[in-house]
Parts: sequence; structure tokens; C-alpha cells
Amino acid sequence: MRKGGAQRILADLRNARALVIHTPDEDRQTLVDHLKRLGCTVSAAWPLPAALPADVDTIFIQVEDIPYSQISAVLDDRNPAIIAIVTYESPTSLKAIVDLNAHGVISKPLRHSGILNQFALARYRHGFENRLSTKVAKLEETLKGRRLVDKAVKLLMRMNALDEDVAYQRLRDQATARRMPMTHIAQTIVSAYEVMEGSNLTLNAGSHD
Amino acid sequence: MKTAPWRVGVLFSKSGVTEITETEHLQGTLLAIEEINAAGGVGGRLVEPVVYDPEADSAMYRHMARDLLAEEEVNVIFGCSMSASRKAVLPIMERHNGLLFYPSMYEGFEYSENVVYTGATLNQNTFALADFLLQSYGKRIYITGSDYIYPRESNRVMRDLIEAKGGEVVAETYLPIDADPRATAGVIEDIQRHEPDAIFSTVIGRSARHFYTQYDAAGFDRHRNPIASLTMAETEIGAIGAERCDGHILAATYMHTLKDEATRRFVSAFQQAYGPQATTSIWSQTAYLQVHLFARALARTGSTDAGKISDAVLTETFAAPGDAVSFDAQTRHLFLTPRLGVARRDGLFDIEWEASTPVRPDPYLVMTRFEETWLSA
Repeated sequence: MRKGGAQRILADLRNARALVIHTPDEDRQTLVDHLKRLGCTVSAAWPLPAALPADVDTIFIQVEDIPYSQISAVLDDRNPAIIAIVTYESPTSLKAIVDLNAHGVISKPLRHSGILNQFALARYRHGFENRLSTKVAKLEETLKGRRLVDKAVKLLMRMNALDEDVAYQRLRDQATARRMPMTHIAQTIVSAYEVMEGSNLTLNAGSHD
Repeated sequence: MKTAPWRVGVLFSKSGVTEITETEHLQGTLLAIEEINAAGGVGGRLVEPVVYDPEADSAMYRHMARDLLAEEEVNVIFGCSMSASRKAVLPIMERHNGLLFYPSMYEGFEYSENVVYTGATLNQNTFALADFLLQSYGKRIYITGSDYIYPRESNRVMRDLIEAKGGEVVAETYLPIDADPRATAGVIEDIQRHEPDAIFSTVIGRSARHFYTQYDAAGFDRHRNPIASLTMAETEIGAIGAERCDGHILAATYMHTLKDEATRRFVSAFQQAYGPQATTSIWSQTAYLQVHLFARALARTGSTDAGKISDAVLTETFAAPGDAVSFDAQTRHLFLTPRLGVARRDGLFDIEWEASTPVRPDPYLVMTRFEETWLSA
């Protein structure tokens, strides 16, 4: 969900598949009924299930009664939006919220007013966090590629007495000719050099030009 | 103590920016109580209203609600009109476990087990109006409103509707809640500049009356370029002068000119109580019907306990003026019939369109589709 109209925020909630992990009591009923009223698909579970149902993308979870290690095991490789349900504002509860990296918090006794805010905020923050993570992963990949290309260019310069622009251009030409990414060619050069060096051998230092 | 009356709180403003419409709320409430008492009360006991006047001031609403619940020891209050007053009273109702019967149309997005909502939600008035404006007057719509939550939300929804249906919002402007004539004149000038096909106005109360008066004086052709509203109803139009308002549009779930038997009886009783020229409207009708719904619930519970009345009333029905009403218990709002009226020379409305059946309330706009067509072209 991107930043956008109020209608879009609501539409996102309508598509949510929520699971309420909470002891079956009045608070849980209040929450489940209200989530239905807000238009999302909701189910409830207790105790903590062994695995999250496949389509669940948002969980409301009573954090104080479940050890974090158990929650963490159930979440495994899943990445739902998480709204913590807490009774106390104690250090233990605070630690549970932080460990979980909860996107929203609601306090007991539950009131109808406030659920919509936390639900919408958690969905938004969760989506935003995912977009940031994807972006960071891409940037890291790019950065790694850049370092590799730099290293390969330096090797070519040293071994073939080329200046930087020419060495870079050669690398590029190879990539184009072989229809491969530059990072791939750079990796091949760097690997080859490392293997030779590891075997106490050298690549021909003379130039073919 | 069999003959001790059932005491209930009544909290509407007789002065301030919403004095006319809230007086209508009050009149509808008191008329229903009179009728119930004339018929012998409930379980042989009369209903006794404890009436406070909060003067359209949110802080006074809060204090008076507390007084009614804590000092007067009533459990049920009929009251509030603007959203700000309802929000001010809500924590008090929850803390003292009272039950508020709230009769005004509003923006939705609320659910409290200490409130019963009997006014229209946006899907019950705004949606059909968008089709009507675009089909009958044109695609260029000017939006204006008083600057608080209800106009802001209604205007947001109206903008989305207009845009989803291929129209254009040429401008959106806001006035202070109690705007003086100079401020409203500024909006009139802005409308002259934009030359829209129609205006959607959620300006309320006294400011709306300045606005409509100036719109007439500026010489617009109201039948070609009308102002459409969710709140400017019969009685306020009478106060402005009916001859200054013909052509304007009201989207509401009740109008004085409805032809059903319950409306005829309501109009007749209302005029008997408040004078032969008195007009009923969406403001008095909801206030009236919610007291009757309460009385029917009370007859079953034999107690004004908030929880008991709340549970009982949600399963009640009442042959109200214009609609046989019943609740959607999941949202605590009423099924109501959307209607569109065009003001006549006598200040009442010709009903141009109405839904074939009552429409389910949708306070969170969960089920309502913005693209859906309400009126066949």
C-alpha cells in the first residue's frame, strides 16, 4: 500500500486476512466482532497454533502469555503485520512488544475506539517496512557489484598497464559481447586472479596490444 | 413506587449555531414523550424528560451529560447533534454506563455500546445524490462546508464519488463553523468565479442560512445550478424564506411531503403541538422515532438500565413517519430509505427519487461501492 487517499487505506483493510491469537474471552469476542465490522476477514486461535494459516497477513497477538521464542518459531519465515495486545505497561510487556517488532499496540480492556487506528497504522507501517527492506537489499546488491567491478578494473590496470577508463571500457565490451552483467565478468576476473595467486602463479603481465 | 415516572435526559441546544435544527430535535423528542404519556405511559408509568440546554457548546454537553447521569441519575439520554458534541459526551456515557440515543445524520466510523445511532450514515444520503447531481445538472461540482469532521468526511466521500463517476470537483472550500455573512460572501464570489453546474454544501446552521440568502441575492438560477445539502431541510428553509430557496436539493431519509399514513399523523400532531405553520423534517423525525423505539424497548425490559435497553432496542421495530424502521444490530444503526427532494416555492420538497427499500447502514463504508450507480440515467 502506498501513501494515498483515505479510501485506499480502507480498501487495504478490507483485503486483510487477520488472525487473533488470544484466549477465548470477552475481549477476544469484542476484537473479532469489530474487525468484521471494519470489513476484514478474521479468524481466532488459542493456544498459539503450530504454524500460521497460509493466507494470514495480519496477527493480533496477546503477547504477555506466550514466550517470545514460541512466537518467533511460529512466525518462522512468515512476515505478517503484528499488533500486540497488552494488559500491562510493564517492562516485560514493553520488551515483548520490541522483541516482536510490533507495528501497533492495543491495550486491554479493549475498547472499540482505537482499534481501527492501530490496525490501519500497523498495516501501513508493515508495508512501508517491507518496501524499505527490499530497497536496502537492492542497494546492498548494487554496492557489492560496484566493489567487484572496481576490484576487477584495478587488476586489469595493474596487469595490463591500462589506464582506468580503458580498463573499464574493456570490461564493458566483454560484458556486452557475452551478454552478461558486468558484475559477472568482474567476478570471473577476480576469481581467476585469486585462484592463480593461490597457486603461486601469475597471469601474463605482458600486453597483447 | 409503581407510579414514579421513568426519568430520561434530553440534551439539545436551544441557542447557538445549530439552534433551529436542535430545537427540532427537542420538539420531536418532546412530542413523542407526550404521545407515549397520553397513551398511559410505559407499564403504567409516565416518561418524564429532564431537559438541559447546552447552548451548542461541547464543554457544556460534557458537563450536562455528567450531571444527568451522576446527579439526576438517569440512565438514558436523548441528545447531541454535531459530531463534536457526541464525541464530548461519549467518554461520560461509557464511564457512567449510560445510553445515548443520537438522532443526527453523521460521518460514521464509530461504534460504541453506549450509543444508539438513529440518523443516516453517508451511504444512506450522499451516494444517490452524486448520481443525481451529475445526471441532472452537469459534471462540474463546487464543494463547500463548515470546517469540522462531518463536512470534511462527507465532502471527501462526495469528491471520491464525483471523480469515480466522471465528474469534476472545481473547488473545495471551508468556512468556520459559525461563519459571519462576510465569510460566506467570500464563498459566493468564489462560486461566481468557478461557474459550477451545482454546489454540494455541508455548511451548517446559521452560516448555511447566510450562505443560502446570499446565493439568492447574487441572482443564480437555482433550478439550473442548485445547492445540494444533507442538512438544509424544511424548517431552516422556512427561516431563510421559502421563495429564496426553491430549486435547492436535499438528500435525506425523511421529508415533510411524504405521503404515508405515519407521516400524515406525525405532521398533524406536530402542527397541533407547535402551530399550524410548523414543518417537520429529518431533524424532528429521527428525534421522534428514537423515543418511540426506546419506549417499546422499555415496555419489554421494565427497566431503564442502559445495557438492558440497549439489547432490547436493537431488536425493536417502529412504523416511523416515512419508514418502518429496524436496526442493524452489528453496527447499532438503522435501516433507512435514501430520498432526494427539490425545494418548491412553498419551502417543502418534491421527492424526485427514493430507494425502493430501506438501505442497510454502512458506517465504516465496508459494503458500499463508489462506482455503483444508484439512479438509472
